Amino acid sequence: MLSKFLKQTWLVMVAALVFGLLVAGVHGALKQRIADNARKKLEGELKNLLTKATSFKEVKDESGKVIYRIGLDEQGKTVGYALQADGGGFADKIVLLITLDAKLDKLLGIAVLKSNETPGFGDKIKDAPFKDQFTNCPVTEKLAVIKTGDRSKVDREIVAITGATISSEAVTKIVNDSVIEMKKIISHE
Amino acid sequence: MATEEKLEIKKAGGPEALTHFIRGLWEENAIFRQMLGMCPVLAVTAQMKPALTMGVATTFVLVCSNTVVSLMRKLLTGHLRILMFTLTIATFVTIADLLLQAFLPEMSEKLGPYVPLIIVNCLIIGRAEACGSRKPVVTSFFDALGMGMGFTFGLLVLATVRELLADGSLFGAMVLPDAYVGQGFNWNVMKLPAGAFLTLGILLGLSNYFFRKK
Repeated sequence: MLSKFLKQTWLVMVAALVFGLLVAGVHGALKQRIADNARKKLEGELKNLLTKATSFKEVKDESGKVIYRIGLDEQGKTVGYALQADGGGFADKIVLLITLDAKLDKLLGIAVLKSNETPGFGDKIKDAPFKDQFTNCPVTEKLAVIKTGDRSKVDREIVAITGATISSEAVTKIVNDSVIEMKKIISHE
Repeated sequence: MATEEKLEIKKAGGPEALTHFIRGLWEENAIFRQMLGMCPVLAVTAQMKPALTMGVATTFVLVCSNTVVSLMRKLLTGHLRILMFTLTIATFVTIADLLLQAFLPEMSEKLGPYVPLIIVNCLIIGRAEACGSRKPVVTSFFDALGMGMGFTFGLLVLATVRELLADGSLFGAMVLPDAYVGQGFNWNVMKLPAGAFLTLGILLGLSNYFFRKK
């Protein structure tokens, strides 16, 4: 029985082992580069959103992970905060970079760092018309998603993308949750 | 004498490999003749850069998987065939995805889910079945290369038409006068799925016409 089993499966097992090692090897060799690319993107977006900041201070937790970043100008005054947050989107996780002003009562803007939403629909969360709605949004209360409206109005209402309600709501929820968390963190310091 | 020579050439995979290679470029072109792998054809050809990247990535996977399948073709008995094809293709697509993420991050982002979707591209498993599992390594290699290049060529033709008409540019560089986009003469529909279908349909019609004339 064992020999019959082996005769039929030895190739699959050997191939699985070899291919697994091959993929693991390539992954290991390229891991650093991929991480560097992600970091470069993050830094680019940070500079993009917190334009007044000339340097950034990272605030880490006990395990060394960065919880949030403080943007400082030349005099060392706080210009704003940057927080990376993620949540479930329509297809996969959405990772956002959310920036708030120093007083924590309005958003300076958001950037989509990682997403896998439906091309042509949820994918539009990366595009200016949707994303720019979050710039200068007041966050004294939660942001709400509405189906139709004027995108250029700067208020707490976010106009969803047609055909991508779930993606739009996911982004707004991540933003809302992050603002609450940020306010909690800062008030405890 | 002649038969011995023929056998020698056949063993080396000479003209057979060359025939396969040339056929893959046009006569049996993946897109215009076989109509395989249509999904990326419609999805990533809105601009030329992603189209070229997709073409090269698919060619890489094609060549690697066809070669590996051909190396083990004598061992693929019964239901092991499809299993091993899928395993091989998935491995090389994962490697291609990692390579793109490391060396061409913007393209990796632009292509998004379509890179892992190369695994289900019928062209690759089709060639593994039709050629990789039956022919020697050299033939399989050149068959894959020809098919991949033909596929890339098809992607680029579509992308040229679409990018030119929608953005007035090629590879991001403006080719048509600025007024084309500025005044709104550009065909925005070419960026959308409707434009993709239109372009593909017309190109298929044209290629069918020219093939019939031959």
